[in-house]
Amino acid sequence: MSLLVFLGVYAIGNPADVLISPEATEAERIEVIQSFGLDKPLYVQYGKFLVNALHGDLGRSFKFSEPALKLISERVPATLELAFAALLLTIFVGVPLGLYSGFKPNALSSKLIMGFSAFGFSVPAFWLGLMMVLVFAVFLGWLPASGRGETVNFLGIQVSFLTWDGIKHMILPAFNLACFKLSLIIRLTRAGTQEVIRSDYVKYAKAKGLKPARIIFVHVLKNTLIPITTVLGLEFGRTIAFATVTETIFAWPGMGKLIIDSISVLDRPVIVAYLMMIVVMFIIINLIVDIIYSALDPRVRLEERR
Amino acid sequence: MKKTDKTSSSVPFKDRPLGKAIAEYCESSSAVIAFFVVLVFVLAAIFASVISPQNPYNLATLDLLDGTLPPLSKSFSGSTYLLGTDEQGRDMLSAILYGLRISLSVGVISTIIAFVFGTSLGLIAAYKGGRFETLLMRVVDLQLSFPALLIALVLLVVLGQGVDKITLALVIVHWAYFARAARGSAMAERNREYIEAARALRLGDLRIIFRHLMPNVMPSIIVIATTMVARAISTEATLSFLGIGLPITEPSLGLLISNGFRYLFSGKYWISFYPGIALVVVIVALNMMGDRLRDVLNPRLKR
Repeated sequence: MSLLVFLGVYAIGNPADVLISPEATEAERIEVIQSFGLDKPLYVQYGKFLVNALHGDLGRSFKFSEPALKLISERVPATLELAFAALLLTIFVGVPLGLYSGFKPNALSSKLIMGFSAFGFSVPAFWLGLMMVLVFAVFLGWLPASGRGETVNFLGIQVSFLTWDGIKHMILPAFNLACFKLSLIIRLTRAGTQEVIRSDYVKYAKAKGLKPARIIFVHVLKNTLIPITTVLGLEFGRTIAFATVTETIFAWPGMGKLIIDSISVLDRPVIVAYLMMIVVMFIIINLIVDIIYSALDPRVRLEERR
Repeated sequence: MKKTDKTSSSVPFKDRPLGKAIAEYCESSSAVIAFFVVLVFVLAAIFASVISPQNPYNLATLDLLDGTLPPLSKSFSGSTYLLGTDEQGRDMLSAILYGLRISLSVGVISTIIAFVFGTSLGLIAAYKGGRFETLLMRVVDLQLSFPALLIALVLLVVLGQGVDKITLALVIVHWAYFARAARGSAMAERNREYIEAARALRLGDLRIIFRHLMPNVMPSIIVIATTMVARAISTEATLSFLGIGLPITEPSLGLLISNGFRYLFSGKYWISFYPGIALVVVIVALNMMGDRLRDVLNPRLKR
């Protein structure tokens, strides 16, 4: 895996061409190449990389001359903050809307909701992001369209959600990132609600004369939540991958923007470190989702025991 | 082939399976509209060089004095730019038609290759079973647990830019969906009587897989193929927007949108807006077709 990434990234181009200004003399050129160890044979470079990687050192960025791992981990909080904001938005907007349109499938408002959901499903998110910038930032001028805004130090990391300026900067990117998931969750909740409504236990609850609120939140919601949680967990990984796009549009200083910038200047150590990190992150996310899933759905546990 | 055509032509077309499916498809007017929209876009892409008012990549026809004109403005030489121009005085309508050609061909070609490759592997896995099946499905599961965009991103970092490279990346990303679907449907078919009959006749494995098993699995695969084309076009546009998909010499719709991004903040919306509209219309129409095909071809939903 690490060999594949390393060789592949090595094959795309010589970073010395990008790093060194064309006016540099030959002597300066050689000096720079040697200082980065780029003159050594490939297997020496890979061997060195492997040894260092095992010590937690994934190389130094050519561009920023800082350890690649440090560079990336500095940007992880920004990406995670954005991803969580999108996730919360999805849950607290998507689930109620889905429930509503599940209960009243023929109302005009639920048709509008489903129309929005179909739209969010098909429209490429990056274009939607651009149009949001255009409408809310350029034409209306309501919300800022780039950067993170004012950040405050919270438990040792810089966060935006505690300042009003930071929140204002977060609205557009978070909504953009949430758009696809929102459509998905609305559909899922709606389908689940419609299925559960027809079930015997909901009919029985109605016959018992329970309050509608209790039926909705206990009987219906609890049973539709299982598939929603699974999908949300899996979607969280997608969110981090897709944050690349959103971060590029809104100039959000997260790890997604870093990787795109690094690709364009062939900053090899950062690319390799990012890819390794994202793979590890994915394995962890998938593991957590599996655990949550079996905790929530008793049927999964039963099957495993057999 | 000829023989089967003759025998079946004695049955009126509308009673044959294909005719029935088409008739049922046409019951939904929005699906028919979607089909014609796709048809118009495909034709527009094929004949882009004939119908576009300008060859957008022939520098001799471009006039820098016409740069970033809003839609419907007159050019320096008197003709009208329906959708405006970009910074080099390129007519956006022509650029969109040429971009459509690249976007559609990347989407369609990558889907066809992924279709052939994935379906064959899925069918062989279902028919043969055993270790090959286990191994293949492991690979498929592993791949599907990562988001398509991420895999394509990694592949393109490794492969570099270019039409061939992005097509390859999309094939690698999408074959697993076909393999899983083909295996899924073939699992239901492989124990049916006609397969047993074919086996009893001692027909070759390949012949059974591709002449007997495959036609019966096709409907569900075609549904997936339709939505996959939409997805491939969307993924390609996203990657090109990020600047790691296609090189600037092959401007797909995604690249046009990306190019207009710089001008968005000064309110010059048309450079990004119209290519995006074209992209959205194609994708929505393809998805609508896919939805309708699923309703028509899925036997479980039959009333």
